[in-house]
Amino acid sequence: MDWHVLWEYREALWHSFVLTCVICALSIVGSFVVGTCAGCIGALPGEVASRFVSAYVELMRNVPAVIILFFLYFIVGIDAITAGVLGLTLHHSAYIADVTTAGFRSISREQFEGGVACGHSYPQIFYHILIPQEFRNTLPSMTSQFIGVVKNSAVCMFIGVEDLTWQTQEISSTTFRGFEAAAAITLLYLVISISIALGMNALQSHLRKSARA
Amino acid sequence: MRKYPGLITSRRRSMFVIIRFMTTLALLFPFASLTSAFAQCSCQESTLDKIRRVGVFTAGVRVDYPPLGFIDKSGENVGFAPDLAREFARRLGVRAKFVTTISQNRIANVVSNIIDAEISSASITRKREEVVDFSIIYMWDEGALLVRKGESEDPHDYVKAKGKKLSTIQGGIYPILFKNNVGEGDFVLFQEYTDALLALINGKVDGEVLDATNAAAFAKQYPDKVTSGPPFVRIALGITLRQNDSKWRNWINHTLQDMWADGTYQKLYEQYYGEKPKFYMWSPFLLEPKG
Repeated sequence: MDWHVLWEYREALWHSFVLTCVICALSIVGSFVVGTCAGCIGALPGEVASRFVSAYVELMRNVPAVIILFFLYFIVGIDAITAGVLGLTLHHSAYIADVTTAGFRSISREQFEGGVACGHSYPQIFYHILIPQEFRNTLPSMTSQFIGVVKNSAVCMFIGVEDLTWQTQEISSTTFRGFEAAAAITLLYLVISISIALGMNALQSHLRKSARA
Repeated sequence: MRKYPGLITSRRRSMFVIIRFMTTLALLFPFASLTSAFAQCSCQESTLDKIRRVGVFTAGVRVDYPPLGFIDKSGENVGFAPDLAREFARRLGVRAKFVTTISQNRIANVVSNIIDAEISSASITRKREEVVDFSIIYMWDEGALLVRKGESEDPHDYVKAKGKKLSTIQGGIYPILFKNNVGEGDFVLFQEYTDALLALINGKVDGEVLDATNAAAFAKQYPDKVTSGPPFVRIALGITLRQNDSKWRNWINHTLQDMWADGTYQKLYEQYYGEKPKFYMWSPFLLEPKG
């Protein structure tokens, strides 16, 4: 094994690591916002809203992320990085919408009815009453979804994005040091995933302390 | 609030995450060493003996590279390379099995014994010869530029300095060949030639660099969308084999020449390329003497 090859490619590895972090961060924020909004719409009274959200969730969840990326990049014509972020956002927002809906179901119906009885609007009820409770309850599931975004970001390499997985292939095909390249990229992906896990743990601890106070 | 012994606090959860990470690292390296050692040990038996023992010749071929290797409507591997592999298997008295390879994994597949030989568009280079061996040159091809219909076919109009983008596949040597023979190119690298072609047709790039025979096949498939420019470099293709397996390499080299001598090679080539080969096997003067 020749680990020196990783030192020779340190700049390329750093560039890919930063690009992967940016894609993951934007996709996580985007999928959280879109998924939470979809979950809120699905929780509204009336069948039309919940059927619309169900259709969206079924479509985005059952189509592989790479197909969504191909559609956005080759058919719609968006540039590669934007297509990658948008594709991951659309795909994972479906799962987050499901998690959000489940989170709302864990809150008693009286919370919503109490808000209506006090004269609050639907946005006010969701923003001040339901979402804070739902978010606290669904933090572990959200952590899994966010880590899923990091893992699925590897599909961006199929549209030419020079992310960590693309860089593994590049180092492997140029130097034939596949194991060393894969080991380095595995470590870097673990750094990103574990950072997310630790961050969410810290957030959960902070929310628990706030709830007790 | 009292802390209960079994309570999973946030600090404990974080510790568990870190312990799992360190355990993953500790497990990764011994496993990798074993895998590497296994791959090296298994090269004691010649590939030729192994193929005769198991009765299967596993060939790595491409599926995105007409007419060298592609898939027909029934899902069968067809093309010059799969038919060459079938002929090898027939002469070995075994059956042929195909594994799809792409430029990024072909060398790894050979080194790891996943395939017995890779018969496709691998150019013979000194760097690649540090990890694998190649047969004698089994085919000559040329590098060419595929462009959209109606646009310039001169490769010099597609250099980076003119703001043009080119596509090709990751793991190939065309970025280097283009730079050495034409000029610096701004490449977007895809996993397969068909993805690079799609990028060209949809306007994501201005040209695709690939083998001239493949370019001609794509231009024939999409005559109103793309056209193939003149070749700008010659490339020598070899069958990729595991390193230091001279018994297997000799068999491949001798069989290629036997196929040339009895006309089988030329017949297969003409079937897929529409013309007789414009090169010689082993040398323009004679084949390797048997004595």
